Amino acid sequence: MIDRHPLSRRHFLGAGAVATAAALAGKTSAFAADQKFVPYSNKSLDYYFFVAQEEAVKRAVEAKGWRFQAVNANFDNTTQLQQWESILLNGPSAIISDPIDSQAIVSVIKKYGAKKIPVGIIDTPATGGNVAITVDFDNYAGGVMAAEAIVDRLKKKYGSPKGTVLNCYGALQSVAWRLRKEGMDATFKKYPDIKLLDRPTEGELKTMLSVTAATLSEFPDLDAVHAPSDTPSRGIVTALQQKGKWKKVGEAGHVIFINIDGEPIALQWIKDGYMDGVVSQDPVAYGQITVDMIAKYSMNGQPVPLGPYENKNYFWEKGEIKQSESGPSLVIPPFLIDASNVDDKRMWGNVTFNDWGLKYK
Amino acid sequence: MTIQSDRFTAAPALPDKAVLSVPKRSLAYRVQGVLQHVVWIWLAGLIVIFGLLNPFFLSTPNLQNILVQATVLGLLGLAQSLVLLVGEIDLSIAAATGISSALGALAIQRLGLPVAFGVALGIGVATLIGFINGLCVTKLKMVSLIESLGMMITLQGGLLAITQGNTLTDLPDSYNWIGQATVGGWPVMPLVLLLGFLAMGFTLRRTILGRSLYATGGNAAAALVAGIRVQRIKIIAFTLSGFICGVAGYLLAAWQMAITSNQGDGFLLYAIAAPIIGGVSVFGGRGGTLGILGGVLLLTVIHVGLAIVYVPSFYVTMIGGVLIFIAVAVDALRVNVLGDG
Repeated sequence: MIDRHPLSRRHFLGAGAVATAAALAGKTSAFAADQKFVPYSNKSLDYYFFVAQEEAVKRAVEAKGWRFQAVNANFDNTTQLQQWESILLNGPSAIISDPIDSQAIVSVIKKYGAKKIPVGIIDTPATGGNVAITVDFDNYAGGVMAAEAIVDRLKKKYGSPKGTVLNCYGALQSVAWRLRKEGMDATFKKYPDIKLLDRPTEGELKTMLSVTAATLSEFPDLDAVHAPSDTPSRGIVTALQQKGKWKKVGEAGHVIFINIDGEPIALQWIKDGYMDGVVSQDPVAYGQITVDMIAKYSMNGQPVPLGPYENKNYFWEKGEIKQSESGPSLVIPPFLIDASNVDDKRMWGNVTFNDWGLKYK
Repeated sequence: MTIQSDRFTAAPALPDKAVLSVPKRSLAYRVQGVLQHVVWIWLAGLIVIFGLLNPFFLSTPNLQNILVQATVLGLLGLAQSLVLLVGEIDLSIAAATGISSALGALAIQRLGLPVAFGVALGIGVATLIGFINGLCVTKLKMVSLIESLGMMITLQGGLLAITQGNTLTDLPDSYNWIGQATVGGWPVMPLVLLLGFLAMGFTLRRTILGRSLYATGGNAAAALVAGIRVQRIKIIAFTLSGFICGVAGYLLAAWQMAITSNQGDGFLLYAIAAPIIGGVSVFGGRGGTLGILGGVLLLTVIHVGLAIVYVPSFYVTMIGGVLIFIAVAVDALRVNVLGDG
């Protein structure tokens, strides 16, 4: 039943032509032997952020003339490990991935390492293995920055840091969401007059809606609200609208609203004057820089050099590639998008929405 | 091979559901024989399709890959089958898989227990969970669907609480051995699956317990009249199911070399789907080991196949769903034609 001799390309193409399933797939996996194949292992397609990130990798890979394939593990760690194992048999030239679990991914990174296949990791760093380049975001620092931005606005409002803040924190199984919460918690601990309401929402829109609505009933004078991601925070917006609290910055009754991510929807709320700011990641840069580094160095058998990284294509412009526990790592510094810089064309949300036409479904 | 070769019918309990008896060598008999193994025909069809789309799919390394990936799902499919056979369902099997392996691993890491003791402790915990499920369903007359849902949520929450959202890694090499070891290039882990299926096949076809399982699921009242201690059989089914979950949990941890705070969660629905696709009745009393294996391999082939053929990622989930849907449809066809529900 199992043919141990791979079909010749001619046989395969002949058979492939009559396979109706080929029509389903759009393309068969017939490919020129000299074409490099760089797959991407995604953690989810349920959030705009992850869709944008996959699109960034896809565009960067295809711009190099390489063959691209994406698999999605739907937040299931075991599925992701199985997909890596399966893809390995396809003889990839390199692999790029947003790991679901920083620690669990190490075992398959080592398997790729044993076959000398470069691994690029984005968004969620691995805790070990030999990764060619990691490009990610300091989630803890992002949480701190979001908290400080809220504190600044409370100081403006009351003259001193005080007030009531709701944090609609995400699922704690997610390392990114957990670190954002920890950064925020640690920051607010420094301000004893600020009452922090830490409420679990699992990062779900419907839960953010119900939690915010309930909190507004309990604390009608709520000063600020925060979500660790933009997409589900639409629930917060709905709750604010239901309670008559959806006011522009500077208007009486405005609830300070600061998130983390920097999606097009958040940029729109800022442009419209309702949202104070959002701490930005840069999934577009994650994908582009990772592919560039793999093309320039890893494919030529060289390590990615450590040191300053500068690129005027990105709003943050400067970062530094440092040695991490899994190899060279570029941690893109978090920055705050607000009314003063929201129209900068380099903001990732402006790139994906305006330049790439990646709309919300 | 007779059409009854892999299936036991509790005839006394199910006089109205006996397989149609037709003369051998007639066309109808052959059609029945084909339908009996329809899951294998669909499996072969999928292997051909994926092989055409990507010749790598038909390589030996990929066969090994499929066998490794089928191991945990296969064991969980067996665990679920035991409970389905007695006419119940257990939604807590995947959660038991996760928490039992985490407790075993923590006993090794924090308490310094020898690896073998830690593994045994984990399997013991899962067995106990199965036993408790069995007690609740029989002695307390709880509805298994809801009882096991409550147990599932409790265990998932327990695992998150134990791990605090962290992933357990740095497990000893001897713990991970079974998930990583190869002999002559062939992985060792699938041997456990083979053993599991042989043991299950033997139990179902050659032991009093096996016949009692079928009888209990086929018609509990009739089984009771026939002198079978129905409650006890159900408790045994749940307990054995828990034991198998414990083994599956250990293998999953050893293969991943890690235990996440939601370990095992993704397996639940597939572990229910695999036996049903393979002909196990959700109403109890029917099913065979070979069918379960077919269902497990079918789902694994879909899983692996979709990972290595070029399908735009937005369509993969839908296509996978359609392939599973077809599998359920062909099994329903078999049931309708054979009157074999």
